[in-house]
Amino acid sequence: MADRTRKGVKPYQAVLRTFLTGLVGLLVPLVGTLFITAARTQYDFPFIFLYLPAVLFASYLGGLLPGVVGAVVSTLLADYLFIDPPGVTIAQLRVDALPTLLFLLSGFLVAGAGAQYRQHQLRLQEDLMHSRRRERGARLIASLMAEFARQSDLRVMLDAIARQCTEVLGEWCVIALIEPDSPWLRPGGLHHQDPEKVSRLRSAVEQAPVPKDNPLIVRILEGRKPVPVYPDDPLIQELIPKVPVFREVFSHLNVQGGLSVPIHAGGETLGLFSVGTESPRRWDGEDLRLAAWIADRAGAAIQNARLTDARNRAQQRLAMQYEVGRALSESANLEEALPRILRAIGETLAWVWAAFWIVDRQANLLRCIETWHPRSVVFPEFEAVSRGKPFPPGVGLPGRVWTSGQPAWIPDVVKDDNFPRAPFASKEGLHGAFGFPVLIGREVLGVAECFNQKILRPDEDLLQTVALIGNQIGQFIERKRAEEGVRESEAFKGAILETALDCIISIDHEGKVVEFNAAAERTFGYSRADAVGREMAELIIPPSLRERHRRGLAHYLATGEGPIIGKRVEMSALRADGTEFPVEVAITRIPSDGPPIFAGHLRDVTERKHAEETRRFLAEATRELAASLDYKTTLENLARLAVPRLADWCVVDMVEEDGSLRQVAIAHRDPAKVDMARELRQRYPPEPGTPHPVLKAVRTGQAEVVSDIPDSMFVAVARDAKHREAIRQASPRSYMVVPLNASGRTLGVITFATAESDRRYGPADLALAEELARRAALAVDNARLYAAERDAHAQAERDARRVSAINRIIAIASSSLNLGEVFDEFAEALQLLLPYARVTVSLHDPERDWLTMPYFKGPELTAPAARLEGPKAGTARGRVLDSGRAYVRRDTLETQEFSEDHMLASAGIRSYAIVPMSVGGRVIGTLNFGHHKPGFYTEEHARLVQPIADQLALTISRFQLFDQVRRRAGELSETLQRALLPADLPKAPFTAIGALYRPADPEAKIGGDWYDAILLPEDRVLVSIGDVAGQGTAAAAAMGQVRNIARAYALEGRPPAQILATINRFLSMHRETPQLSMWIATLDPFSGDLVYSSAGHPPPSVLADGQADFLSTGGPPLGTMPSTEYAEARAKLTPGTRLVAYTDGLSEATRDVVEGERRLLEAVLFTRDDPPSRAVEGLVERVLDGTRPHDDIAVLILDTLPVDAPLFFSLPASPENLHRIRRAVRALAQRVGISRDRVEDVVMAVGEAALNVVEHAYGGRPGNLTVHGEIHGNLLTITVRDFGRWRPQVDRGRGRGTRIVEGFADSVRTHTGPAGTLVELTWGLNRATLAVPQS
Amino acid sequence: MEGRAEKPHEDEVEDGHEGACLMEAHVSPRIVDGMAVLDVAGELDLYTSPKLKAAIDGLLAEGHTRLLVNLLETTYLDSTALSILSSALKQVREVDPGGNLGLIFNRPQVERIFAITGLHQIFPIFPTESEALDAAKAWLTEPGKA
Repeated sequence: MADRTRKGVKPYQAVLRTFLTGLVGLLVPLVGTLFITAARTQYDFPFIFLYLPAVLFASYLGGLLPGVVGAVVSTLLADYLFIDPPGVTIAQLRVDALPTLLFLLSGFLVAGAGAQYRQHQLRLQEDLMHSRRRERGARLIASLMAEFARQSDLRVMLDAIARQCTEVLGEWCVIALIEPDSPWLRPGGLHHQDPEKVSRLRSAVEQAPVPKDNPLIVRILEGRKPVPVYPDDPLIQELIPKVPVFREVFSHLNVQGGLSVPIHAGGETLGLFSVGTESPRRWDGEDLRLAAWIADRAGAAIQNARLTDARNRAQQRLAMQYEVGRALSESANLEEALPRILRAIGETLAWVWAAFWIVDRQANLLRCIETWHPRSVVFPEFEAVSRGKPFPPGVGLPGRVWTSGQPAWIPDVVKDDNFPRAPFASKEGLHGAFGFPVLIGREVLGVAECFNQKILRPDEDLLQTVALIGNQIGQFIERKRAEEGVRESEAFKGAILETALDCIISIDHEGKVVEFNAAAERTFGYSRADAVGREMAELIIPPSLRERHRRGLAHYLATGEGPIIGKRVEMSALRADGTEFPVEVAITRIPSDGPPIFAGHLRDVTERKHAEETRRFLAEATRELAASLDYKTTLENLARLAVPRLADWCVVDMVEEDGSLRQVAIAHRDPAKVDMARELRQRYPPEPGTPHPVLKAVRTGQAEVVSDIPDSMFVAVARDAKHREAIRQASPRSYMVVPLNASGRTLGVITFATAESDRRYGPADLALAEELARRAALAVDNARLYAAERDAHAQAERDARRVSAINRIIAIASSSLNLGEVFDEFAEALQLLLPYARVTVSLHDPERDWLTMPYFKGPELTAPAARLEGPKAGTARGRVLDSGRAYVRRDTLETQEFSEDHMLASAGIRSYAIVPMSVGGRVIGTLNFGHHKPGFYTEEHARLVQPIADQLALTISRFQLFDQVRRRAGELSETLQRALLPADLPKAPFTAIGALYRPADPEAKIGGDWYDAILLPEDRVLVSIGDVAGQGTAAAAAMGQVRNIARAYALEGRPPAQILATINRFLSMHRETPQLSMWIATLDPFSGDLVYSSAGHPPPSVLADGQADFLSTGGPPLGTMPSTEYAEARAKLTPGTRLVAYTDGLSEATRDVVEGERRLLEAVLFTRDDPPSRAVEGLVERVLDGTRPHDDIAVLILDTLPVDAPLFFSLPASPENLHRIRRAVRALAQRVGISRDRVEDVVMAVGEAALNVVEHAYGGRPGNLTVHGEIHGNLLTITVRDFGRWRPQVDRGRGRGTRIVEGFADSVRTHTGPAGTLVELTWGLNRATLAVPQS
Repeated sequence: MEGRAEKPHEDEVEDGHEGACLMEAHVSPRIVDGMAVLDVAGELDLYTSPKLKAAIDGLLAEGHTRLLVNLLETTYLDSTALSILSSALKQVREVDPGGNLGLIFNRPQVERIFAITGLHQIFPIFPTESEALDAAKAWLTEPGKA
């Protein structure tokens, strides 16, 4: 029963069936037995026949049990009926053992067989069911395959797979594919049987991306088998809340079971699909097999679709290029070409809307002038808004393409920030878009854009292709513009001539001529006298038309109506010599009283007719020429066309790379003569040096027509008598030689010649031939371009690798911070793209209008290379800078138009190409290639390297920008450093200090060099100098810290060695602070005691008594070892000693330590007579000796002044400073060697004078007090000065103070003025110990 | 220039007071045989004199009106110090009819200051401490405060 239930049979049906079978098993033997009983009294053989089939039937229908039951019951019933007499109860039943047993046995056997058969039948049924499912599967696969074959769109196909899966495996299906370079699986196709739930499923799947590395996903992807997923699976229950997609799917849909199947193809895992049901279902082996099968086929199909997609796209691109090329070559102007171009792009790419926007230069707007959409679908609102709304630069897709000059891609315009048309696009279902500029050089003429209904990721290949198309269109426009110009001027000229050439013939009502003007005389060949009075019809109307004319005139005279009066009509006319020619006639009736007179204006339109024919011919030729993109075929077509319309035979020669000629096409009126002509030409190719017209045309680029070939020409051209004879045989009468000029080059020459027709060429023929040649040249050029583009396409991939290599080079080089290296890398990479003998980079300095050449590679010019640096004017590079377009010089020896030509020619550079380097629309310089071979470079080359030049421009400007940034940062740290260097050097008694800081590069490099000098208590001087490793603000900041620590500790009275040790500990604690060297000292200016200590700093030089030497060196640099102790050293600086401390930027300026020190000492001696403030400058100049410093330089000079040097002391007038003044004055007095008693006199007097200032000069406000001491001869003068305004005249203490001052000084003079008071004290000296030189 | 000296060159002492380079004056009172003696060492100027004044005021507050100010170790004194000393003299004599203030110094420089300012005539001045103490014994026996 369970088995049947599983097969889907309802339980009550099974019960019913069993009941019925049992009933039949019982009834059949019973009926049979009754029947037999009626006939006989003993059961026998026939009963068996009824009994056994009945049992068999029962067991077949109901299974073993009903069969057995039926057998037992029938047997017992038979026994009862036939063996026992009636009335016997069941208990009394007598069983006839053997027959009954046999009966039963046979019944059981039959029942068994029946049941067995039934089983078999059931199995068969099941198999049948399976096979039916398999069949459905097969049908499914078949339909899938059909879908795959029909559908190349992967997404549609995936949807189809999903839809098919739902038919056999579950209610819904989702396919997710692995994306390269993405951590997520991308939902591909999806389907739900219930259309209403599709969107729910889609939002569930799209809102929750599936990570590739999810454990369950990994398990599915790595396994090769379908994985059933049931919600009651503990793993799934655990994962549901954790994996967003499960959470979403399980919350949106009532998932009762799922099946996830990996999709593989060719050993690659492509993704998976999952099916799910919303009713309870378990997946059996058959389901799994089917799923695996689908996955297998889907994998192959997906891979196939991807490959097909790639191939299709490549083909699409080619087809697009081809179509656009055709559109361009077959269109007369842009207006004609645009619809075809847009259609070509849209149709080949299968996009749905395209537009072309033209740049309106005056309004500075882009206007949409042409749109395209396929017939099947329209976007009226989007189109209307596009056409109605011009875009300014930078706005929307066209605007940004215009601004950038680069193609652009928008995956979804609806979500783009800069897409004003988004609401309309959204409404009409446009999403993906790209646009590309139509360029002439760097100038954007227009922008084309193209839209898709799908959201599409950027396709770089496609953008590259359309960029190329943009250039192609640009070239076309340029060409057309040039053509327009020429044509307009011709048309103008023609109009004037035509008017003057009108014939005027008047007739009367009888048709007789009354007026016949001069033009008519010329045209028709009758004189006026001959014509007047004769019937016009006889004169000039061809006989066939005369009757009609007469009838027409009669009809008009009768009715006043005529078909030609007042109109312009064309008809044939007859000249006096009987020839017919086409005329255009306009007949008007001249108003008169009498019979009507008619005036006819006739114009000979032979020329126009001819021109029309020519145009038709040319149109046909153009079509023919455009039919092939193989230029050889093109030229053969051309030659074929020319004969016999234009020539009896026609030869086309192409100019080879090396300048030689190659005959590529030949046609002859008589096909039999083609071979002869070819042979003749092969045997006698045009020989250089002979006046062969073809050679001349190649040389001059000019066409030539010779109406009648003189015999002398055969002689001149012919190599020998035989040749001459052969030429005569061909009997040319007249010829035209027309060069094929395109892109500024002569590609080849067409020779048209007449012979048999005896035709003579005239200017009209030449004009036609030239026009034909022009078109042919264009076609050949296009064909070549196409071939080049095709090659370029093939090469694009190789180039892409090169370019990416260049990009890497740039990346590497940019980190080296050296533009020279970048140039080197570029030059090397460029060699791959465009061979050169010399490559240079010129940059334009707009301020001076000057060209610099920061880089060149290749031969040095014989004249200095610097001569290629100079004013922009008159240079080829200047021309490129101005025009923004590349310039190619074929041969520098040819003309010497530009200032470079001669220079380059003298260096053996014969051809050159100059490519503008622009960045952000600004041409900043040029990239210049030179080659030894004349004509080596073409515009095509320039185009090829244009992106590289722009890339280089970008790099250079980035460097310049970087320099700017660095400079600004430099300024900052310089400012910082200047702020950290003492603004004013202290003035200590008997000392003079000068210092200088000079950064290595005044613009960029900032070092951590510093010097410092402050006054300590007791007028001691602290000086320090140091060098922080590293540069920039970090170094400056470290320097500031160190300096402040030194100051603080020195003010506390710590000696130099201790200060160094403290700083060292500080630096060691802070790991990020850089290493530094430092020299620090304190000087007692009174005693000359110098206490110093050095940490890895170059020893200062000391100059005393004309001898320069160095102080002792010291310990290691600071910040190297945490617990370093620094030794303290002392020296005595006697008056007149100079100490020069410096950083290694000075001593190592020569990069040679010994030489550096020698120079330093020499410089110290050299500058010894200068005061410190000047000496520092002189010293640095002397050491550097014109060389550029490669490191920062700090110099500090500390002088102890000679004994007779004046004292100048300025300090705040406050009580605590009185002591300092006395001390300085005492020292001064002692230095000049006056006796001890007198010293104290000086001290007493000055002290009292200073006291007076402190107490009274400033009335409690701060103010300064200066003491100035000087010796003049034997006179010591000390001036005490204040700058106070008010001085009390009478004071209690003043009298005593004044008495002291006057008592101790030899003389006292006091000046009081508005600027303060000055007290001058003098002493006559009796100098005991020191002889002071007289000043 | 000797250069590279590792040890300090002992500068020859030109002036015994050169060592007192710090801006200091030490003023310390002591009582010798009942006599208040104020030792002043260092320089007395506008900046340091308040110390002297404070010390004198202290002694006065303790009731000492007969004082000796020892200026033997005073290397410099200016008019500020002179003002303090003369007003102190006036003060002791006001509070105590037997009050007195004697000065001990021997440096000619100081002598000249007192001479120039005329103060040598109002102060009892002694060249040594012993002479001062000898003379001052008499002051102690003189009738004191009321």
